Amino acid sequence: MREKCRIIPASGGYEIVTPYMPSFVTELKAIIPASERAYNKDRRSWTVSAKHGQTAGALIAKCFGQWVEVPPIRTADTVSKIIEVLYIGQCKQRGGDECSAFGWSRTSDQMLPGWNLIFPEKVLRAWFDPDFGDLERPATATYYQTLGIGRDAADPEIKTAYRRLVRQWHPDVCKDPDAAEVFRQIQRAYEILSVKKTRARYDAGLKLEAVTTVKKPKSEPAEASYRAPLRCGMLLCDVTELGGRLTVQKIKAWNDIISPSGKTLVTSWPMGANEPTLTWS
Amino acid sequence: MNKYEIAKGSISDLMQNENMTLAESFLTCDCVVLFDVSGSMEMMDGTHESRYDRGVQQLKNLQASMPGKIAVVQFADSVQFMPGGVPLMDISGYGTDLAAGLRFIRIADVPEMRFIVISDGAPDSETMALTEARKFTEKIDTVYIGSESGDGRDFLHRLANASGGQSLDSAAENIEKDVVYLLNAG
Repeated sequence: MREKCRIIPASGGYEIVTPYMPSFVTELKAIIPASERAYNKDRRSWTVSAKHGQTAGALIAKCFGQWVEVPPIRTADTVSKIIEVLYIGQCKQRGGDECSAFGWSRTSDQMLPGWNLIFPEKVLRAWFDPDFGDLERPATATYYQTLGIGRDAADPEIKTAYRRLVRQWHPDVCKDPDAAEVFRQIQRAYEILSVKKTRARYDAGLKLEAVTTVKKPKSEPAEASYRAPLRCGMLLCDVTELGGRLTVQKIKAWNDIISPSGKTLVTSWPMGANEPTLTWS
Repeated sequence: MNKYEIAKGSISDLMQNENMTLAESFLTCDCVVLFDVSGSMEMMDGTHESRYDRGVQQLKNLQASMPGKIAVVQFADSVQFMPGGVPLMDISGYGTDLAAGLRFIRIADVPEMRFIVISDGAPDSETMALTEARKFTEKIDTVYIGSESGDGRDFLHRLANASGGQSLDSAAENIEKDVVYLLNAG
């Protein structure tokens, strides 16, 4: 007899229990964004956020020909947490309209070390790229975005952002494959934005860029994925939990991780590694 | 031929050769030329080429000799930044809205930037153009390239005076020499 599909209220949403069917998994991943679903290895089931209960029900009906009742539940609460984030990857499209980056956390409550955090791109941009969404925003990354600051940043803010980033991306300590190139970009951005005359000229160029249709340079990729300028830190965030994974709704504070001896944690992900490399600088 | 031609040494040329964004390439720019493309620029002045054609050739020479240093903005009824450094007659109408042109280039009114207005006549509104000119912190120089004497010539003198700049009476075929003179004169 064929196994029955079930939709059960679970932490932060619904647990979806079905027999394995590749097409069901493919469709579920395509329809429900990564931040709104999680796979439970032990139970071999999916957890989806409360708002996707009906979607899962419809998908079960389509793929398995079963009608499963979706019991009413309360939506997941947003709570504030302090999280030690060791590495944030690059933003990617992850089903639906969502573009997000996974974050690697050592431990947080009962969570195991691993990719157990989700940072939607809009959340990272809201913290690092305050001009995102402005009409004037150019298609390519600006020096302000490289340093993770707004266009109205005062000189001390520019210097602070620069110092923080060079510590994180210095090729002597950062083992990311593109560390040298990112370091060079940070240096260049600071070189321009820290001098009043060149900053004014660059700002004028940005304004002209905003009102001009020009072709991008040939070698530039059509659409580069967003990556947060910093990859690790002690964060105060608003989060929602789903199936043991936290989705960050808002970043409220981002501090460096400092050792008792006053050293700053620098993390990188060398080619082929299974987890981030930690270096105290 | 491409409608938007790219002159050697222009901002677009620099962007392509150095793989830069427009904002990055603007870092080397020292001078914004506001070039008149109104209907009167089609006059020949007894030569075989229009003021526009002779002026464009001069702008090309200028940019080739000073790569990345000159940004070209054109104005008539409307205003357009031409990063390729080659103004076009048929896209901005036939009027002379210099006030709009000045309002536009004030984006680039940053320390040590030079502004040079090249025109052959009086604007649609002298009052508005002078009002815009007085808002600049850097000075505006002017080069008159019409053959007629009268309002246009006098007005460009007044425009330059309004911002503390210099004014030259010249001809379209002398633009390169005039702009270099103004830049060197400081």
